[in-house]
Amino acid sequence: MERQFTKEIESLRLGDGETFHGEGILAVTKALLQSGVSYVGGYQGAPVSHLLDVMVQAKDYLDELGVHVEACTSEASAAAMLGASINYPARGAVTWKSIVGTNVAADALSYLASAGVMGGTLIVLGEDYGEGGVVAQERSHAFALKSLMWLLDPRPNLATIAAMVERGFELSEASNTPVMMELRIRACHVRGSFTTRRNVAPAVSTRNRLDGPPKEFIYDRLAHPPATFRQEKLKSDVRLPAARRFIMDNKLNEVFDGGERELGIVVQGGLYNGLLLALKTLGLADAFGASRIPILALNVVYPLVPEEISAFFSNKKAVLVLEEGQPEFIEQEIATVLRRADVQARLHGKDCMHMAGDYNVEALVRGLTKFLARNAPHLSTASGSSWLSAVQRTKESAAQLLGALPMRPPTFCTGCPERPVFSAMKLVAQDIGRPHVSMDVGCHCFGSFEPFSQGNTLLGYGMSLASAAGVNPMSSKRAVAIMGDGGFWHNGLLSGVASNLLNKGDGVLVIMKNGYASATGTQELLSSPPEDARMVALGQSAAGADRTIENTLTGLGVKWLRTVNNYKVGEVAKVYKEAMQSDYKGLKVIVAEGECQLERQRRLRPEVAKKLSKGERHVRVKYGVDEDTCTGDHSCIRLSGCPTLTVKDNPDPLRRDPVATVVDGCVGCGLCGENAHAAVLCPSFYRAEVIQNPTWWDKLWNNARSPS
Amino acid sequence: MERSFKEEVAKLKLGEGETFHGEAILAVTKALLQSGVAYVGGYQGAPVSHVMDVLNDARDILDGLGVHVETNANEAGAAAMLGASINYPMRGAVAFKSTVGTNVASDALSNLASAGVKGGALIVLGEDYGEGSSIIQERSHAFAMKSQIWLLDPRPNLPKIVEMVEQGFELSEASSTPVMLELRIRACHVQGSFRAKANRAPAVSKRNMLENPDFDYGRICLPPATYAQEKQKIEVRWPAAVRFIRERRLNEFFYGERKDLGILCQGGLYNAVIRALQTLGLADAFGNSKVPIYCLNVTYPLVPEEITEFCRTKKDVLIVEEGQPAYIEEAVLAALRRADLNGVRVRGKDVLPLAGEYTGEVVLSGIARFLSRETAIAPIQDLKKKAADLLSGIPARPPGFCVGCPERPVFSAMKVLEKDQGKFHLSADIGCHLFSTLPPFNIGNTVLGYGLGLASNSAVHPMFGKRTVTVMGDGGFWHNGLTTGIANTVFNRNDGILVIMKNGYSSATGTQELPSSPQHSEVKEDISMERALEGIGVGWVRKVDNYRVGEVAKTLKEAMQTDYKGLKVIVAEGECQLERQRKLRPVVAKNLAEGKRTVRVKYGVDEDTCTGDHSCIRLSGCPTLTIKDNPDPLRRDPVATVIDGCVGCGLCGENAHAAVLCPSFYRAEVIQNPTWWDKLISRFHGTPVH
Repeated sequence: MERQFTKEIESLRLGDGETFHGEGILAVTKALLQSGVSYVGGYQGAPVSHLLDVMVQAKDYLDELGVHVEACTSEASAAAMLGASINYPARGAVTWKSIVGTNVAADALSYLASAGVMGGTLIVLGEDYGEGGVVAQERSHAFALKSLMWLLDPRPNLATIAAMVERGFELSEASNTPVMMELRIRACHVRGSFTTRRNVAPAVSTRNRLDGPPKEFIYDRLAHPPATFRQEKLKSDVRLPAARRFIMDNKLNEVFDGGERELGIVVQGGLYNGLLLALKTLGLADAFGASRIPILALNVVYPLVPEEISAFFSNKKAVLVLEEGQPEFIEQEIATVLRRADVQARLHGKDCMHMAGDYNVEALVRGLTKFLARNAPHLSTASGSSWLSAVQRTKESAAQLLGALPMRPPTFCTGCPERPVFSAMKLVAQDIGRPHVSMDVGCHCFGSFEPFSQGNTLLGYGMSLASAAGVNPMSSKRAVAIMGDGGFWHNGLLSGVASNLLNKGDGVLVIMKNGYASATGTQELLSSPPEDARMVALGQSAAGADRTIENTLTGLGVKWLRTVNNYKVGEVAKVYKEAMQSDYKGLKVIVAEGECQLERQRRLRPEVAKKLSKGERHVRVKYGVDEDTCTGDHSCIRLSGCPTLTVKDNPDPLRRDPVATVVDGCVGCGLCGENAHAAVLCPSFYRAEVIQNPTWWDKLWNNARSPS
Repeated sequence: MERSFKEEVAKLKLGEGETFHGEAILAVTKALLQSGVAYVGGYQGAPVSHVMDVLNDARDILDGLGVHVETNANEAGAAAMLGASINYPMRGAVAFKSTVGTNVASDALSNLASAGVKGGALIVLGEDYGEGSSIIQERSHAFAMKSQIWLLDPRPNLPKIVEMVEQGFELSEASSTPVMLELRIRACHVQGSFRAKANRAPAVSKRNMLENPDFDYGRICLPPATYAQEKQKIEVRWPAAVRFIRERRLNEFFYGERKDLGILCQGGLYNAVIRALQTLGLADAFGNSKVPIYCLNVTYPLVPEEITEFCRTKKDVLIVEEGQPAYIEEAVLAALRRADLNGVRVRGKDVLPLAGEYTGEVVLSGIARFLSRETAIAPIQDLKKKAADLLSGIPARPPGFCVGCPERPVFSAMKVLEKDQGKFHLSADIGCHLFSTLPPFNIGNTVLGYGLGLASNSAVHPMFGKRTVTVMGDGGFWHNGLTTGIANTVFNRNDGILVIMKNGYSSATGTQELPSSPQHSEVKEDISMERALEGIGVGWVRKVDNYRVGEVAKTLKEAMQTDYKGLKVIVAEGECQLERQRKLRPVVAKNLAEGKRTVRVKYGVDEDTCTGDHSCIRLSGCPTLTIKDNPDPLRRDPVATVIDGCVGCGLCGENAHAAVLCPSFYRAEVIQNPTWWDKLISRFHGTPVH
């Protein structure tokens, strides 16, 4: 695991009236326990990985409370897990990254929402939208509409977030409906504090077990016809009104009054902080959050409460709806409410703000300025305009300064075991031409960037082999699919491998077996190397110690299966070329082994530090370039892209081109040398052993060898 | 396969100007070939299973054209397959049942829609909503809005459906966006005809291959390209689509003399609307309506100019939009508000129900209310009331397992075990085995989606004092149960019992092939479920023959009581009876025709022994095991009897044995075309000879 949460786990135990300090997403973990949650599950992914990471690491404490924790193999599993709350009064929570996770979970969620729940269910969504978002830019809101599930979007402030977790469970129970809580990237990472309450041991738990299924067999809890027809009617006739009543009675949405009574702003709770900063910039709010324009902050964005909307709009001249992303679900719903209630206030929204993309403070200041210019000419927006032009000036001068710099795409870590595979693929492509490469989600999709530029499409987690199914039969060269071990277990095994076998497809699949779900923080997988093997391997790769992937593939009936050691570029290239050219018709799988370098370094570093502090001898391998031999053509860089392999001025006064060099940070994986060898580049790489705390023998040897 | 499509396959060959007669869903397959589709995929499920079934039977025609057909492992795989159209000018189509299939496909669809397509990509959705639907009631419309994918909803009429397939590909290419074509159950099965065109061999195909890959960073769904793609959706693709829809007049305006009124309907509901107007005397038999109709063959995106144009001069407009929430109604109201058209009164969900199918009667009632002609529905309501009165005494007749189904005995065994051990929680899955939730078994507490049974048990299990059970079909196993369920349980080191119904096919959808179907696993031992389980690390696997009820009960009991911690899998084997009968019947018919001797096993009840308590029925529910009047004049209660139709699976006898019921069942051999020896023996034994 990337991070240890020892301190955070301590704060899970806080009692009544104590203060929790920390990140927004960790406040959620505490709020779950305060709500008496019975079980927690989920699938890792920024910005909510930490929720599950903390829970998994806090297993001992959760066992005391009787809370069951599960690291699910996909979001679909996690959503299905919530099925436990359909028949039993057990509260459950799951978490994942959205939109992608909610996509994967969609089917189970449909069934869950149709059956309805007895125990409260909360789905904590990391809304990975806008700047910093790594996934397709879509809104989770659509799923709320589709399945009639409720969607909370709390103001990014720990007390509100924690309160909404607690109210969320109650809302879920009051309306028999699963509740989603969306937390944007910034909301997950906002820091603050809130006053805690003591944890509630769940009524149904691993310590207080059920003795049997419901006494009476209740067919209506099954999402199967004819119950489904009744359930659909229940959704709109019973559950929706119950939810609206709960939201109103408990004042989940907040109205902040202001002096400009003819104006108003309706804002998604999650955008509230940005809005206040924008208003402050415009001189319309003070540092304590008091705004001159009345604000309706929607901590619940679905369902809306028509009475609340019309009450806020009545007697106003114009109202601006601030709703991030597309399409404008909330604005349309408000337009409908106003038309039905015959409220005449002018409605603004996407006419003042952009449709697609993040609503950062700059965008909000621009939008508010437009809104005010049309509806409140008496309010000066001068301070906003001058701030905006200052921002513009800074941007322009930054652009001028940066104009000449090349793009700097993200890439593999130093010593990453996945880089050598792309080196090998690049070498083979030189030889037999470039194939179509279907990419998957994971670190290996950096292979799409320079210097490899391999990877033509990306269709979702575990979907690479499936996405090659339409390309392969149409290509004269075999199409290649790359998949991580994370994607393999997430769904690639079935949607990719089993489908290919059923259809007797040709094609090449490279499985990157680095041992973990690494891009999300090296969470464990079914095929992670066993703990003891990792301890033995220390700085070396332990990925080979588990064979579940290979066994499963063989079990499924994959006949052409090779395992390679990634760092042996020549070997990888040979096997890859064989797969591309083999007469064997059918799926060819290459399991590319090499444990995540970060995980290896995490094990190695404390050991080395310990040794060094004890004064023990330690040998570190580092690679370097002999600057006299280096031809300066930089082929080695184009085959690697390792951050530690770069250029420096040529020390030879007669040569002008810069030479390659290996900077500090090299972890000695040896790829540069392997590449030079496999691609027959100039023989300028050398391997050095850096000896720390040398023995007298090392010193003597060194003296004897070095010219004095 | 349930059905052979030999006749339909012939229709795929129709040339220019010839007439295609048949079902709408089959018209779609022909339209795909007319559009020059390069590859087709999908996952079976009513009402669109036939798209894939027909194409699978038409391999030789497709090979001739160079079209690739793939039976995807699930809808996610099918959607991902459309990725081929991102970089290359290839048209692709996939089909699945919605909303469930679109749920499963939604991640790949998000990525596909973000990247955008070069070749047209068409997703044929069987919109399984309303009466006859077998799934949760939701609308696919939400996915269109979420991912900015366009949604076609053609009038249920073959020429229109075919045209929308062809135009759909063009729309997709004109706006670089995947297009969904939603066909409701009735639309899929509507019969009609259209003038065919010649099939077009695709430009890029299995016969005309790609030489070099296309690398375009802007088409990879990774940041920063994703941000640009989102903007493109709004700034380029959407306007392009709206332009195309307007220019090609994909939506239809039907003029009528009542210019102050208007009906705006989803294309798929047009037939119901026109029928209602006919009933109200506002339209003739040829579909000429007095009330103007704006028929949306494209329900997303809407064209605001068309909406305002239609509504501008009207006093009242009715929106006929099936299901909830009312996306179209809200969008229309927002468009009118933006255009400052405040004079028109928009009705919709205030006169029509929010939830449920818009059948002829529902639409008629709604339109009558809209036109203040409520009296027109009185006769229908009277009739319904009369029917309800007459039917009130009759018990509900839920669906059940087929005669001789291999899944029934497993639930008999569970019921026997329940008596012994008490009730246990059972997480059900999608498939025929879900009939276990109905009488006489009432076994199965939740269902959370296809292949998700075991995953849905993961928080139930730890909360129980005794073990819980999950049932999953082999279809669900390959769809996603292996990863979401089995890998999940092994990874989390959970305890639990999983019963896999290995009947050999995806049977509820029409016995389509699975990786472990007999033709793969038994003949060639290619893909085996058992070895996959072992490979993934399941340590406790038992195989049972379903029809041995006592054995099944014993194995289940063992799984319940063993000290083994971890997942316990029982592979319950028994091939789908329908498929067995399909193989057997032609052989028997041939033998009989040739006069060869055949022996058929049939079970019966000895009416003198039958105690009349009907425990045997409560343990089985087989349609051929029923009751008849007691022939004994001294006994009043009816006795059990086995009627004709029995396929001789032997379950009734097995049940009587396993549950220690009265020994009244007998096994008979019905001999057809008996030999002289049979006849001789029969004289001695009194065996009935036909």
